[in-house]
Amino acid sequence: MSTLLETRKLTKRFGGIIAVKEVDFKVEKGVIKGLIGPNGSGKTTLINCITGVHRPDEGRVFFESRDITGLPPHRAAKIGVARTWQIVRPFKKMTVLEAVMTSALIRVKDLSVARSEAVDVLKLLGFTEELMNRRGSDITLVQHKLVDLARAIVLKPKLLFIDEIAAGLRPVEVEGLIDLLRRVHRELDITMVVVEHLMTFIMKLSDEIAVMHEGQLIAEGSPEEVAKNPRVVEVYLGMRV
Amino acid sequence: MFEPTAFDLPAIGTGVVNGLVLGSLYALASLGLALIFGVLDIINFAHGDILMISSYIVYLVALSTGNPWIALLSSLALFALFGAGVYRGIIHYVLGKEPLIQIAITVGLGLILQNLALALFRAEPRALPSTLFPYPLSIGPLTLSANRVFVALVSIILCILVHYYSTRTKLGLASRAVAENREAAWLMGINVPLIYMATFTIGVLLTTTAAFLWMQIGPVDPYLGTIFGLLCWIIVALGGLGGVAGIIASGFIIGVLDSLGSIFLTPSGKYIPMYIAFILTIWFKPRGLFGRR
Amino acid sequence: MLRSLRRRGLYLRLIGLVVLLAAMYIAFMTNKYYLLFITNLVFFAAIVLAWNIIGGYAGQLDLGTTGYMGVGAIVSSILSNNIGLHPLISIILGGLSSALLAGAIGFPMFRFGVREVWYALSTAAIVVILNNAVRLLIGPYEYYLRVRPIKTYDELYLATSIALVLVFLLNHAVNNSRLGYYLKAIREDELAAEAIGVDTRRYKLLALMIYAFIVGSLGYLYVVMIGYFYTYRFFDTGISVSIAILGIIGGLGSIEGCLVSAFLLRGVGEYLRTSLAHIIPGLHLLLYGAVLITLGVVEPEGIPGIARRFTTLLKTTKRPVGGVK
Repeated sequence: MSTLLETRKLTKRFGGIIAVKEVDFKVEKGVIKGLIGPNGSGKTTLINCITGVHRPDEGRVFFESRDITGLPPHRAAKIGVARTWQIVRPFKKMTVLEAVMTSALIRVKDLSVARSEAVDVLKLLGFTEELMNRRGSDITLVQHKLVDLARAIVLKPKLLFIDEIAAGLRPVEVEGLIDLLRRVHRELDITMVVVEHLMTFIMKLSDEIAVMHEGQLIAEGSPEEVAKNPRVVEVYLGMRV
Repeated sequence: MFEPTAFDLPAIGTGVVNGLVLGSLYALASLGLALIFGVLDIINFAHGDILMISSYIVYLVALSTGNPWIALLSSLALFALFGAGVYRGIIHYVLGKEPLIQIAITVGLGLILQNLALALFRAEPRALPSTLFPYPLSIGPLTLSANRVFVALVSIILCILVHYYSTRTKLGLASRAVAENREAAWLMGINVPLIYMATFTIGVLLTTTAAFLWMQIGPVDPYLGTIFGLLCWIIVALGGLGGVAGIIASGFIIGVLDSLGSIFLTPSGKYIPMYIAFILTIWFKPRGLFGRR
Repeated sequence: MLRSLRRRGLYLRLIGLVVLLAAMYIAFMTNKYYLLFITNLVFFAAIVLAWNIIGGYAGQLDLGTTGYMGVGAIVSSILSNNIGLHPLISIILGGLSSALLAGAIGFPMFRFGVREVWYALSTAAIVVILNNAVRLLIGPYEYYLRVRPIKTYDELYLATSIALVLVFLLNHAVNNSRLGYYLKAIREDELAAEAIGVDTRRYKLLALMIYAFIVGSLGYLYVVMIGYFYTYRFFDTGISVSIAILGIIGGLGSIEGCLVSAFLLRGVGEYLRTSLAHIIPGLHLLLYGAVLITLGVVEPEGIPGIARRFTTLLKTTKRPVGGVK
């Protein structure tokens, strides 16, 4: 198993607050790695530092053994690091298809090839042709999240960060999402890091889990190991059990 | 570019003092804009034109009643209604919408005000035939119109009052909370729509007061708003939204630049450094020279 | 299949535009005053369509249009009038100088992330600076072209119409290209666009320079149209704002919307301005203001938004008689 992504002592401060503190985060190729932690523990900031939205104050990020620290988001996307958004960022005035096509055009120059690739990805995620031609302003929240996912997938990334995709969804939608993500992982061979609050979601989906608290990685291991880890329990329940 | 008319010290001195007078008035005018932008997050391109229309109302009432104080009070009353009306009728609908729409709407409002003034009053400048204190004052080696001293003093006092408002009164503190984080303020029980309406109206009233003061030292024409509007935006950009002090300081800077520029440079020449400073601040110091964005 | 349909759509629209231009000419060709009037309309339609590239597609509220127009006008006028270069070469060089200026301004602006209202104010400030700087350099005089490359009003209308058709085609080309998709994504959500691999700085700069080139080239045409160059006539922030307004009302990114707003709204506005100016000056601007506020509150997406509402209204009222409610 090779290491796809590795951060070394990654640190990010906002004014007086240390959002990410000397984090050594490692992702092996081919896994689905869960990333959990209470609100404000630094999960999204970590993703932002890796994908170039923020510049880390200290530390390094290595992708496929290459130093990509501080690489702007569009460069990170081009070398194979993609992400979805915790709060959806739709392209409201474009249709679903056009939005995903824009992403495809990063790799493919031809418009019709980009269109067919976008259509394939959208079909994989369950979009009908009618839905594909709807404008971004006319679709539901879960559809937005799937479009977000499609935009990221059509880049054919090697590493995909999925940031709280289940937030705001109904239980039946969540179940469907677990199967979908497994399919995407399997069929498209994408290594995934899934940030989530929903415990059942993470436990069912992940091969391994990392736990963050107040900017630091406090535990790592298989879902069962992490669930039993007393520090993790303390952090979530606020007391020793 | 340079007109070597008066390179002597008294002229420079008068220029600087006049600049400070203008600057304090500019600062007062800009406070209204800063409040509205800071709290409501609304980009108001009609700000200058509201000042212009207020000036015309002051002019009209002062002319017809002969009493400047009635002019002031009636203008304040009228524009309190105007402010609340514009808020409820127009601004309310574009809160939180894309900046482009807000700009478009306020540009539209500005256009309407400007051309209403043009249609009603034509383009010739109108000045008050009798101002409040039209006699000269000697302060040390300088001679100044008492009007200007009055304007400067009142502007500064009002600016300080606004500072106290935003740091000591319930409404002011609540407004700042809303400016920081609307959702959190709402959750804490602050009546956000009320704060919005109140802040907008206060912003308009500050502008109306500035208009009243302006009429003591200058004329009004339909295009006054364009000049004032841009100046206020420059001052808000330079001063940042951190507090009244920043606005006052940048007001002074712009006022002195304006005044000295009028003496030593041709009209064209004086605008260039001002606008270049403006652009450079926006690009390099988006939080303003003094405060937070 | 979609592609050929789109091609067919483009041909239809192109033909429609040409027919419209021809019809306007035929209607007004006997009266020189009206001919100049519609030439002006066509000219500004081209400018608005050029603005559409930076404002409508890339979503940047650019208020520097007249700045780029003016610079292009100066350069091409000097080249063709004083140095004697062929007008077409002068136009292209004029356009290039505007594009260079735009690049010089845009590069630091986009690098420092200047956006929205600050972008708008910066570009407006640039026009003011240019106005004053150029006045200082060449003086506040009216400069007349010694040699007029276009002799008749008919030729002028033809030249302007060709310009409009070219800009129209360019807009369609951008719209259906990779650049178009990137720009629209940037307009919708710049951060999300970055995250899917779009180099937002680069493409914003590209859009800016294309638009500046077009507008700079058209500057020369404007000098020919009004017969002289005068700084206040060219470097006018009010005109810049009007163009942006027309582009916004036309719906950001809608080519037909821009044409409707430039011809219809501005047409009515210009008619009001020239016919009623002595009775009610500024009436056309009052009209713009009222339309802006109404649109902003009711239908922020401008003319295409209204059109869309209209068509959905038609679709939903097309029920069979006695149909189920």
